[in-house]
Amino acid sequence: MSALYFMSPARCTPETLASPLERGLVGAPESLRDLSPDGKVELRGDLARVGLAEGDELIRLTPRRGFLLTGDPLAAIDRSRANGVLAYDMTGALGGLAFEGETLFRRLTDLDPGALPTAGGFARISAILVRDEGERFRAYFPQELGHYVVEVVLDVLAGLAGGRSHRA
Amino acid sequence: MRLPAQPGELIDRAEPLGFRLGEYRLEGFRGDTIGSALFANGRRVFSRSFKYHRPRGLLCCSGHCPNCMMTVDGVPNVRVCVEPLREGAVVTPQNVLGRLDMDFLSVVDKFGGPFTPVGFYYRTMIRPRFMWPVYEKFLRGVAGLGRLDEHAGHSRRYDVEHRRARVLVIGGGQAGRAAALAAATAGPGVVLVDESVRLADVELPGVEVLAPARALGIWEGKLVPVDSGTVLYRYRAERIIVATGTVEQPLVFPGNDLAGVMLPEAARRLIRDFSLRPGQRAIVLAADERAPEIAETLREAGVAVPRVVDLREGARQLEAHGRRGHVRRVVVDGEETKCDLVVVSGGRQPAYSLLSQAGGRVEYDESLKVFVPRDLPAGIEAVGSVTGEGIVRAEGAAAYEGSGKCFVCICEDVTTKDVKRSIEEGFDSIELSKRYTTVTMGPCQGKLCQLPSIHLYAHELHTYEATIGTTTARPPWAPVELGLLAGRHLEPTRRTSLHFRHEELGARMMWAGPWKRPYAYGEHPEDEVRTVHESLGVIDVSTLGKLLVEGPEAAQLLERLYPNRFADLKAGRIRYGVLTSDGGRIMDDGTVARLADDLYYVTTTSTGADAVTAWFEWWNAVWGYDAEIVNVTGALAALNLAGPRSRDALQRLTEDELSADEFRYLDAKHIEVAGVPCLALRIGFVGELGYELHFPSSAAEYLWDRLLADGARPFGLEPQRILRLEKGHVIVGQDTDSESNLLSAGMPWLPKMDKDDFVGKFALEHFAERDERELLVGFTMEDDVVPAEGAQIVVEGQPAGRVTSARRSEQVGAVIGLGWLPRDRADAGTRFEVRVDRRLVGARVHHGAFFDSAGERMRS
Amino acid sequence: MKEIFFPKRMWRSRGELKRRYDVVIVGGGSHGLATAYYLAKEHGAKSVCILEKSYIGSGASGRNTTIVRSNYRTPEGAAFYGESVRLYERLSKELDFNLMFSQRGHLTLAHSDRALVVMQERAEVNKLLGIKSSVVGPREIAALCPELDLSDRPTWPVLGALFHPPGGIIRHDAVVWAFARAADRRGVDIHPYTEVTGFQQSNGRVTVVETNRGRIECGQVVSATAGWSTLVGDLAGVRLPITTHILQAFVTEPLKPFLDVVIVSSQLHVYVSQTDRGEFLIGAEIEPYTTYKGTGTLSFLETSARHSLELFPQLERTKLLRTWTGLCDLSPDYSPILGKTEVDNFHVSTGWGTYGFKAAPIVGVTLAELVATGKTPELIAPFALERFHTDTLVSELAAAAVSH
Ligand SMILES: Cc1cc2nc3c(=O)[nH]c(=O)nc-3n(C[C@H](O)[C@H](O)[C@H](O)COP(=O)(O)OP(=O)(O)OC[C@H]3O[C@@H](n4cnc5c(N)ncnc54)[C@H](O)[C@@H]3O)c2cc1C
Ligand code: FES
Repeated sequence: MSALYFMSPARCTPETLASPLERGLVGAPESLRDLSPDGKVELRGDLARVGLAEGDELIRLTPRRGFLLTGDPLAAIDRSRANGVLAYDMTGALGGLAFEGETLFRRLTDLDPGALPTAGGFARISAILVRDEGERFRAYFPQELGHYVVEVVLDVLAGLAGGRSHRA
Repeated sequence: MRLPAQPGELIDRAEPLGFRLGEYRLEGFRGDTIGSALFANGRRVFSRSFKYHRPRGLLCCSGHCPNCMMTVDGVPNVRVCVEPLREGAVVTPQNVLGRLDMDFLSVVDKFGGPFTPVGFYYRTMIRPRFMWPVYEKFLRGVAGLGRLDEHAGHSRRYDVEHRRARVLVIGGGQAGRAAALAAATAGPGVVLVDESVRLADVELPGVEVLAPARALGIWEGKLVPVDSGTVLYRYRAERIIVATGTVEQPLVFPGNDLAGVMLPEAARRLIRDFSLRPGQRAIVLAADERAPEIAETLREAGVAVPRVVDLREGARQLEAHGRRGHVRRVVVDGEETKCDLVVVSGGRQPAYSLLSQAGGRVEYDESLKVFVPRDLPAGIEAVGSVTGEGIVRAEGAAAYEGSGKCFVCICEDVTTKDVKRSIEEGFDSIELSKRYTTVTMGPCQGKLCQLPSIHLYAHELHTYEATIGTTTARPPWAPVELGLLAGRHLEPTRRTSLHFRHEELGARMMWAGPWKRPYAYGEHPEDEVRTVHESLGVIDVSTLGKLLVEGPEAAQLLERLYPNRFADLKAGRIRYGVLTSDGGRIMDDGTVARLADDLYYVTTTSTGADAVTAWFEWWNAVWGYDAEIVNVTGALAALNLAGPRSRDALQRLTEDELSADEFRYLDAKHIEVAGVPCLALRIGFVGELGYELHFPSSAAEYLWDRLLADGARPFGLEPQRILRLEKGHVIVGQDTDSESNLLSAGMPWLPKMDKDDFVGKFALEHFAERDERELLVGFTMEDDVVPAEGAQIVVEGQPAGRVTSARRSEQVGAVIGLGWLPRDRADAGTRFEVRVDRRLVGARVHHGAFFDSAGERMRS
Repeated sequence: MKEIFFPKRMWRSRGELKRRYDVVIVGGGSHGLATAYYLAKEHGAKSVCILEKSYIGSGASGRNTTIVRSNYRTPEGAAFYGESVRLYERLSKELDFNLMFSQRGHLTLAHSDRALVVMQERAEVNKLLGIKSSVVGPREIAALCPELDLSDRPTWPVLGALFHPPGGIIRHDAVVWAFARAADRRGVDIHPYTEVTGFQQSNGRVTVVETNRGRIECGQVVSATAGWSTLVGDLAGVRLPITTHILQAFVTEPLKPFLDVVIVSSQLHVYVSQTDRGEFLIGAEIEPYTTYKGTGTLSFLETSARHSLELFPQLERTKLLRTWTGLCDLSPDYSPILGKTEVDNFHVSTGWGTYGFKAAPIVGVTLAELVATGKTPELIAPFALERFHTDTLVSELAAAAVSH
């Protein structure tokens, strides 16, 4: 048994788990989806040697530092460690939010939507940003700031719904 | 009042809009600005000037000058000449005592004139000294322009949007549009911004037009914020083309500030955009080639133009006179012309501010007699008249002779006399004189007075404009609302996974660094202290910084980072550690648990996680050890379960063995509690038997609920502070400051000076040689008074030390504390005095814990 | 008063450099000018000049946000700045120039209980030294500044404040000009547009000061060059533990005055005052990197605007008019470095960070005394350069998050 098993929500019974975004997202538009429970693994080492499973998504942050989105973090950790890449379960560390719309994106971050995935400033904090098809995006950020992120996103959406500025 | 429909007029005559000026109800059309609507209603005086309260009317009609600043719907200092009219707008004049046409403060103009020369305030009201506050009160009473609703709150939603452009063109005149179109042929990503509403409907194939919107500046990295009202567009551009054109310059002559004296563009806009006749009878005064063209425009609008003066022909004397602030006649070299409109052209100055701010040089062009931008940085270009292209040299006097006040700077009411005087007094460089006279420091930021004032300095000092130089162009290009710059006002707040549980339990939440934490759950923190001493308490310590250090050389890394030893720590054991800076000062503290040979679990203070991570990474990069540092603070929740009942309570939730032999003090163990995998650390910050449980943050609410259901009572930060004080435990950052070191802070036992090296060793050796001036020690108060944290320890009337922590402890039965004392008073039992509420109260030094000094309870 | 009607020159126009001066002061900011003035006035020095590479007051002295106060944390600091404020109180009269020193009260806000503790400590130190300073609660703050948002709407609500009644603002240019005029009238030669480019030394003493306008023999040298002090120090071979940073500030368009106190928030890194012209004057903290580049940053404007609105939401639609930057010379312990160096006759005034304007008079008095008598006055002994060798720092750090 790994000395770090106490980091993995996957080792808890599912009914014990909660998401940091839960309360903020009550009544929020459906375009916002809570991705916090999804498996997330931080990798350190030679990223070329990480064995990826079907559906795994590897985001390279630096040549020796990566971030793996995976359906089964426990297996992913075992696999990477077996390949000599250190792996840490960050599922509980990061909140995740999927949202839609490039304007919303541009109001939250100065990152280039055409150059994702990457890590950088987002709603005045740091986050990892990923782009899906079309104008769909995902953001991963420290879970302790999750409630704040939801507040910001809802506020921006309200602003966008309120139409243009008074002069335009 | 309106002219017949003009080609391209902006007003929609089918849609009248009602608005108010003070008590009057007035009407304009959609498409009007408030300024044009007021003008259409016969208003000519729009404001009162800054210093002399002189009546002022439309001058530039382009949003530069201060003459049309009024309060609109409660917002002061709105330039109504460019503010779109809206139904129901309420407009009030400002900086006026009485009415616009009858301002009681205009006595300053009539009588104050000779009394308010430049520098007046510096020379007066010095004696008697005690009267200055009274004078100042009066000065403040008449200062400023618009009045703000001082108790209003946030009223608008502002936001920022980050955008990118391949080519950003600033200015939508002919040159700008052509440049944009040319750029568009090479591909997409071309954006053009312009201040004017006129551009809003312009279609340029392949170009995104943003109007009305205003580029505020060009910052490093080709960052251009664009003001569009309530959204700030932050453009990053690969290439910037500045086509900001020119700013028309006024002429400097007596009476040049009367209402009815206008720049050509103002007259043109009134006619073309709003179909208004700017006056009935006009005289045109131009120092450049534009006199005939201006006269033609006026005549087409039905204005009689009895006189057109080309000032290049050498007029010397020029003055305007008016009645009630409105121009009535103009005298040029003795020849008088009756008129109600004077259109003046002092030439055009390239609007180079953005370019100079971006790093371009500004140079005086002798042949054009204006300042032009040169040597632009890479990726920034200028096109059109902003480069000086197409400008015809204006040839007029720096200031015309005549009688009456002659303004160089309209915004600040600075006259030619003021400028001359400042030079006579020795303020003989433009920078000095600018500060003395305040010329260029008004709302237009010198757009209308920089060039004229430099001509005047050159003239007075008998030198060249090039020698005088310009003052620095400072952003923003035009005034911008603070709200727009501020954007959203939500600020990052760190909440633990139990935040809402605490709120539901009625905890009083407080800021602790970037975190919100419970101060206490009830009115009486002592009750929570008692619970911990007597039965079972639980505190959310998820805010602790948590780091993993893993790798074959993890032990070496820590051994060198910490003053004490970690290489010899056995797996499954915990040791307290303090980090010191290279200067030997205390930085942070926490526990270090060795989980395996090559794996350590490090905790830091609640505010220290990021700094410690960076510190570790930095040194690791320097030393090149094979070790990874991972900040896992947010991944894990942490609860400290403390009190004599904690073992039993925890045992009920786990099958792992917790007996005193199996799970010793300072052991770290993997256990499963109520189905949640935990790293359990047996440590005793609060002095009772206790377990710190670290486990996935997603399971925090669940485990918390289970513990509470099992009888644990939550305790907050305040009770925790009392508990640790009873043990004499130091809080880094509260009991220590940026100068404290281990020797002075009562931890001389901690550093292992026989280690080869560690960060701060050199400094500690040095400290060991000299005697510490002050020591951190505990104390017990003689009376039952609690000194404030920060209270001074007084020796012979002088501050000699300070209290850093103090609380009343039921357990100890006294007021106890920690504080810094001079070395010679720091021995146990020494009496000293603390200042509490203006009196001195006795206290005695106490070394070690105040309670259970052998630590039996936490080791039990 | 007469001068209002019959303008007299403030100072002589720049003359030729003399071959020799007893005292050469480098830097025509408030500190250099004050030192020259007190040398002439208190010690009768006859041969003193000021070399200024630009116009007088062109450095931080003409760019600061003019907060004057003495509620410092360390007893050494509080005593020193306390004396300076007392000098400022008399200075308008002494120099016959209205410095518009407006002691309108200074409030440092606390948004956390940690901050309150630090303030408590400052208040206690101050009181013992006879400086008016106390910790006040929201109700008293509301009475002093009813316009401040004291609700719990802001992210960091205000919990209390350190109130310092004698603190306030002053006209920086007036201070510079008044010292310059008074020094000039006592025979000090002021040389603007004269840049020091090197020093010649022999036997551990500076003998000649080299400038872009020629060389000057000298008895003693004082470098009062703040943001440039490391460069000038290097010319003399004196290494100073100083880093230079930029500090930015801005003003808004003028509004009818309503804010009468100076408001500082360390948590929010802003301070706000309203000038007698009605402009809101807002500043922040230094940029964290070292630079001499005078171009400001947009993020400074954004952050300071946001934080100002946390305190004064009613300023939301008030317009920012002008921004600027100045240099700050930061010492490791946020206290100044004053007096002797290892070069015998080369003295310095540096390490002023964001808070040196308020010290101009006392720096002038003490440095003049040092130059005239060769002895370091008691008041500035703790601020000797030597303290970095003996590691006896005077730490204002804990109190210094925003420290004007
Ligand atoms: C934006 C800002 C806000 C501030 N706010 C406050 C505040 O509210 N309260 C406060 O007390 N302090 C404040 N300060 C700090 C204060 O302004 C300075 O500490 C103080 O003005 C320093 O004065 P000085 O005379 O030593 O330096 P300066 O005024 O900078 O003078 C140094 C002079 O030396 C000249 N010089 C440099 N090199 C040479 C050379 N080689 N040869 C000749 N001359 C040379 C320079 O041109 C300059 O004029 C602020 C500073 C800034 C930048
Ligand atoms: S005219 Fe506007 S600042 Fe001088």
